[in-house]
Amino acid sequence: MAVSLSKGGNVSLSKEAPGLTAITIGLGWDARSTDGADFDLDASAFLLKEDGKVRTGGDFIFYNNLKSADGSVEHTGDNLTGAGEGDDETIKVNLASVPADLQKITVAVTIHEADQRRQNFGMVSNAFIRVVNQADNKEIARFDLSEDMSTETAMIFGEVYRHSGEWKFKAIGQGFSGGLGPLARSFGVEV
Amino acid sequence: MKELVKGQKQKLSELTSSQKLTVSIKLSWNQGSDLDFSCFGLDEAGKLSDDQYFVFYNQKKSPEGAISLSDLGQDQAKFEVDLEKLPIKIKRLTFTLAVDGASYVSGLGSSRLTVADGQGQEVLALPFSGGDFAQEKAVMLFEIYFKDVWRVGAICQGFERGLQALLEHFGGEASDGPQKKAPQESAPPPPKAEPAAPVSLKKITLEKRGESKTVDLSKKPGATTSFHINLNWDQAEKKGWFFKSKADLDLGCMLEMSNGAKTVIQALGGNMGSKTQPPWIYLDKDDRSGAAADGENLYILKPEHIRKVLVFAYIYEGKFKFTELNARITIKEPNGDEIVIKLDNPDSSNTFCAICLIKNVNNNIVVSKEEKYFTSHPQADQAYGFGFEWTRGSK
Repeated sequence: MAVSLSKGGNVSLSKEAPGLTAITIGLGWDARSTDGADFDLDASAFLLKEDGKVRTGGDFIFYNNLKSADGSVEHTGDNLTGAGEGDDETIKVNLASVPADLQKITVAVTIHEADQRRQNFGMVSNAFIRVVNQADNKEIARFDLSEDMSTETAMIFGEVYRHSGEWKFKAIGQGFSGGLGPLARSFGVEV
Repeated sequence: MKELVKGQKQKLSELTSSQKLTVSIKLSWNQGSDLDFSCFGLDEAGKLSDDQYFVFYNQKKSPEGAISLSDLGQDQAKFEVDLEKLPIKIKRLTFTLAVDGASYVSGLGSSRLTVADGQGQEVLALPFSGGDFAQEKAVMLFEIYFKDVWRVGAICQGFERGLQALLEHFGGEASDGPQKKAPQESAPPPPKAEPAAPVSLKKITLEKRGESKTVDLSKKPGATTSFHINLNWDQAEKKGWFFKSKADLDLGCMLEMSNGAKTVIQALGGNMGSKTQPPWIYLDKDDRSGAAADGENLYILKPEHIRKVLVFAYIYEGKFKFTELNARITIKEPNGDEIVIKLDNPDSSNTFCAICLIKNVNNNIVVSKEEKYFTSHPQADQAYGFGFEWTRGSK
């Protein structure tokens, strides 16, 4: 039974799924049901050190850089419309091979061309982030954040982080003003 | 007072503790075409599972009165909501706006939706204007919804097709879209489950002049699309010095086809129209006495070929007045629904009444109540811009 988190909550992945070595972080939202420009949402992951910054630009995993240098984190590709049931975008993380100098993986979603299309997260329905155990495809934790979204155009959905030798997941649901560029810069990526 | 922007959400408790709310919509609109304000009371799945919670001009109250529409004007409406009275099954109230005719919501000027609490204090405002919309004819403006607690949200999104698209969106009509949440059991799905009953708009009464109803022809491929217009009136008798006379009310129409052809169908002059060739509009009989229970009937067999049809009634050489006849027409739509138009502002001096206008707008048939009185055919023609040449006729 997956743990359902609310904003700010956290769970120990290692305790919930003993022997866990690899996870899939699934992100989803519903395609718009009204007429007009589709929402193109992009998921990205920031591999961060203790100080909350990336080591290099290669630690910013997004649609133009789908895989980390060591292969431990991989974005499986862009879904342009949010159509279909289940995860719209997924990020695979091989926890066992994440380099020791990385402390956490922060997962964010941004709305592509939000300003031009006059879109924001308040217009996106049924958004979630979930963590799935790759070994048995069982969902370990989930965070439904629709009601935590409003006028933001970039949002940190959640993060997977090390804590006392365990891997934990935290439900963040925090908006960020500006798009993907400013978000990346805040994590020390030069863009 | 809090101002919301498109997409913004907020817990209601952060605005007010009041459960009685007044949602007022004031528009700046100079496009001429009609505006429909509605409130959809939806279930947990976001569907209109109970028609009685579709509050609009023809149903101004939900059964227990938790939602009511008041102050309905050309460009404004006010909804009174009592969340405490609302049945538990209603989880979402969505306030919508639809425009008729060739206009789009993007034609709006600076407009505003406000929410006031039980004391009349404004607690929230949602300013919007045409720039917030694209080529949309029916939009969801605002919602009050229950998810753990009552919340409000500014939506300002909608559909290119009018009210019908909104009804479909909320009506749960069969959709070919992505399947949601397949049922757990592996049993094969029952053969074509009954789609949720489409919203029935049966027996619509157009009460005010200018009020209208849209019938979408493109929705029913292959199905019959004809309109049947019936004129009836109460029998009246006048005792003269030597003889009795009965009221003779005649039904007719001025029409313009999509190819520009124009004609007048009426008993006077003997043009009864045709069933088999253009304009595919005909009168079935001339009831001189009003004695036949079914009155007079006009059929529009191929509404897709019309541009506009002005349905009128006139008193033929009678000593009667519209005030004595209680005349009304009933329009049967292709889908079986009926539109009723009563002449409830009768004029005692004029003998010609333009009752309703039927227009084809992008293959939607828009029926609007006119009930305008004229002294004669030419005067009405002039008002509606058909441009016929008139000569005197008799039957």
